Amino acid sequence: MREKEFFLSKSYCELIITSKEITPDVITKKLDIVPNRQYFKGEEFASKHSGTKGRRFQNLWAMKSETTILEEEGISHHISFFKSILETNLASMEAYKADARYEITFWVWIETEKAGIGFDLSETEMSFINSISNNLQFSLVTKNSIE
Amino acid sequence: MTTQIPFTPNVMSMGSNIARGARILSRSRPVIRIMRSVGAGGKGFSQVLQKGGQAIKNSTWKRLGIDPIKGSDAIHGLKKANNLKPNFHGDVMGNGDYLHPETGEFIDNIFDYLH
Repeated sequence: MREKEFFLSKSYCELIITSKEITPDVITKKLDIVPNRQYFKGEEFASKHSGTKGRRFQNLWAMKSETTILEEEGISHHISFFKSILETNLASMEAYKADARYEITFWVWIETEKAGIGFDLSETEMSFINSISNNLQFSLVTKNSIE
Repeated sequence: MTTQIPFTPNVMSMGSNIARGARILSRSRPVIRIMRSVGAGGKGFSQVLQKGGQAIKNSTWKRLGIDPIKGSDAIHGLKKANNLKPNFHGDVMGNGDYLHPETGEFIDNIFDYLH
């Protein structure tokens, strides 16, 4: 079997807005963006594995960038996506940030075949992430192979 | 349906936990809420494998029958799905149910995030 020339990293970013009071349809209407996923507080759901039933303890609205599999590390292309989508909504995002009823997370998800990765964010990129969220989270997951 | 029964610590696991200096649960602690697991073959009651803690221990993954590396991937997915912070540490039940540590509410199930 031919040895790999390079290792791959799979990544995407997700903007997640949660609130105990504000429902996702309100956010959709305000931002004029259809989320990739959402649920309402109190909505019943069940685990596929255990069958345990529960009710969502919060409202959630989330949009994500397209998942990419690349040799390069870094998330600049994902940040560019969010800039293109949210550039007309920055005032709304600032208002959400200032409102204690909202928790806004910019979640960076990276899966990699490498033992470690490294990337940087420019001042502009950091400033943008800060303008649309009040929490930045990273999930860095190592995998034997990326598919 | 939830049933409240007196909590009986597992003596074997308490012994090994004593050796590691873990907090000992009092036998006089009244009750804990145990979620009945229904569906998926009706496996009956599940027990608390881990309450709180900085991270899910390898011994907990072992008792769940999950490879710790895959488990770590799964817990990342579960937390993201629910916008939980890294320092949020739910109670882990024997059937993989992940409960809110303060309210006991069912948040999600770890196995649903295994790939």
